[in-house]
Amino acid sequence: MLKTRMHLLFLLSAVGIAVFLGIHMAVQHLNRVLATGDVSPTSWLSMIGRATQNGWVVIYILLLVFGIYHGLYGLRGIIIEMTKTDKAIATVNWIFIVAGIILFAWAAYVPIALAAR
Amino acid sequence: MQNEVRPRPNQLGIGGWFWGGNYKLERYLYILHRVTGLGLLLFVTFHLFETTVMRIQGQSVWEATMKFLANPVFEVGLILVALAFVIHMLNGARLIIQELGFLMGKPERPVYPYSDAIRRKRSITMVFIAVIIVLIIVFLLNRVIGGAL
Repeated sequence: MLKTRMHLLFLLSAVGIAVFLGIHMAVQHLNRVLATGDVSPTSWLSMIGRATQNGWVVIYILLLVFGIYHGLYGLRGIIIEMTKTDKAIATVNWIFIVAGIILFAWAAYVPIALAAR
Repeated sequence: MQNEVRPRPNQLGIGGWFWGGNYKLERYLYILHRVTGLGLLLFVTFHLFETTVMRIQGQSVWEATMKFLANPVFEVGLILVALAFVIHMLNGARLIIQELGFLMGKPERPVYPYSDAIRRKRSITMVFIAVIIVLIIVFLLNRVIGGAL
């Protein structure tokens, strides 16, 4: 049951990434075709402007949650395919859980710290 | 003396990505999905480094990083990332739809010669491939117009 739930979360996180990364791509990477008005989305002023808006901070943190889970769960699946013993599988699981938590804590801290400036 | 019969291993490892049987188009999409997924994961690692470690150090470090990244090698890399994103996202959507049993038609009795629902409904796969191509053209158009990808 746990495996089914984790797999369903994997699918749901894919939908979440498609939505939030779609917003990110449309605003920052298709700015010419879609005429979003931001001609230099990677400039400091543009970036810090988004970083201080709560809406963007929420979008980036949700994207972070979905992205880290989807990416690490996908990579874990590939590694587990090549792993034969239960002990090795458990070790891989714990490495990914710890790595995911550390990655999320650090990557979520930065947009929150920038928004608070 | 009877020859020893060795069972075929069911864990093919990375070799199994490139040959897993007579699956044809869907098998190649599976390989593409994995390769693009790993590529995107590698990119996200670099991107997180850039947007956390570099960004938190302030404007001068951020601008120096952007200046460093503004060269043809990284530009090509970004185009590849955009293509990988489009392929991975839309092929992933196809996989989710088919895994959950949507658009697959009603179950049929297995009558020889056997066929599977994935191949009977290959037109759905072709539609997704067409959308992937259209989106890739949009990304490249954005590039031609002059915006950074």
